[in-house]
Amino acid sequence: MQLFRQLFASLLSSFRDLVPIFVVIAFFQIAVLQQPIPNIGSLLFGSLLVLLGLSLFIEGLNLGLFPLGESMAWNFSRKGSLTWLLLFAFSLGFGTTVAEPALIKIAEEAAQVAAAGGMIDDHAQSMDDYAQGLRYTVALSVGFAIVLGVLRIVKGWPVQYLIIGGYIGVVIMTAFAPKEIIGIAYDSGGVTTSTVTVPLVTALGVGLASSIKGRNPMTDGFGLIAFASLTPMIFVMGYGMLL
Amino acid sequence: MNESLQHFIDVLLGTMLDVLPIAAILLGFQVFVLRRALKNPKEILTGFFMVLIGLALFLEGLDLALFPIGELMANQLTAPEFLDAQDAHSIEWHHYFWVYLFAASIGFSTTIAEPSLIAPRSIIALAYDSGGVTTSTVTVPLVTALGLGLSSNVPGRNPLMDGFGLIAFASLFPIITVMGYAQLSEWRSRRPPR
Repeated sequence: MQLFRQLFASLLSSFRDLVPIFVVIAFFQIAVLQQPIPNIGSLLFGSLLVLLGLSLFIEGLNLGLFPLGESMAWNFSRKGSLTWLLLFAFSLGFGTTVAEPALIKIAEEAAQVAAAGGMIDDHAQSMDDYAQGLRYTVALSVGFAIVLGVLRIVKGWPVQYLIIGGYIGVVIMTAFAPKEIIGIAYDSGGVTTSTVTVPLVTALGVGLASSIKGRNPMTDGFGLIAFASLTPMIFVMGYGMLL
Repeated sequence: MNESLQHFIDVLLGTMLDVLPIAAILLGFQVFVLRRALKNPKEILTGFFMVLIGLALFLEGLDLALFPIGELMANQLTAPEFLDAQDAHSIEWHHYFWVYLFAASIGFSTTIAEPSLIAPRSIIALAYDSGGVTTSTVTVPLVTALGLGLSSNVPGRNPLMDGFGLIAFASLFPIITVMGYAQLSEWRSRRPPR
């Protein structure tokens, strides 16, 4: 019963959050474009599915995976073994990225565009391979990013030099990467850091910064997500060069 | 109906493969490395099923609603009839006025809708993080569809080269604005009260 009440509350808050988007779209359709919307039934049904799916997804995470992940992030940051901590950091970054809903969709979309543009063969198998390859490249890079970020917190390196260095890396890679991959690579940085990754990774960072002496959760705890949106750009451009 | 049910089952199986790694990682580390029993296995299992079904529903809904809406809006906003242009070659950048306005409003409203958005505070690392945080589950599909739709409609643009990149801007600008916001609030707090 408690569960249903929570689910309903989450549904309501998802709905309230989606209202601004609906208002913008409705305003443009009615006031600016003044054109009828085709398939309005399926659009509304799809929106309903998005709403319901997102609420179930987030409530499910809150119920099971998030408390587990957060308590583990705390436990690992207190355990004191750097090897296990780094291994856990990598697995957490990799695993959450593979489950990231937005990335699943964008990889599929990118495969379709790449097939239409003649970059890969235009059949289902090669499109699937391309989408999977893209996702696992991004997952690998996020795992690497979280390891780097955890090392930064442990060693107390200042975040901005690493970020600036990373973006210089992005600029250098851009000069060598094929033109078709650059847009996708830049976007994949933003796509990865989403519903699943952000809460778990932030828990790891803040837990770590508050359990190490001399680290302040406010200045040292954040910054992991920034690495996680930087390294995919470099790795995906590398993926494009290999292909 | 049968066909769409079949499709949904396929999507559900796919999401299972997507969610299994993270579940396996968390459980594996908990049991084998930390050597602790799960506190509430029943809730974790329920949560896991909710995540599976929710993700599948969400992905189905994206295909049915968010992607088509983004593409439709991009198509309609760039149609020569709507732009009031004689032919495709006489369109200048300022004809796309409504596109810019739509882009600005959709960017603003999708970010308000973000479930994982953290309120800005005056910390550098947080500013860098907020760039990644603003671009998540709701924003990404809509903005991507918009970019792909625009680049296939605007003459001389190619979806593969020009369609992607909007999300990158959406993760870059918050870094600048959040740091600017921190500067501004510091300056305002230092100014002597009148």
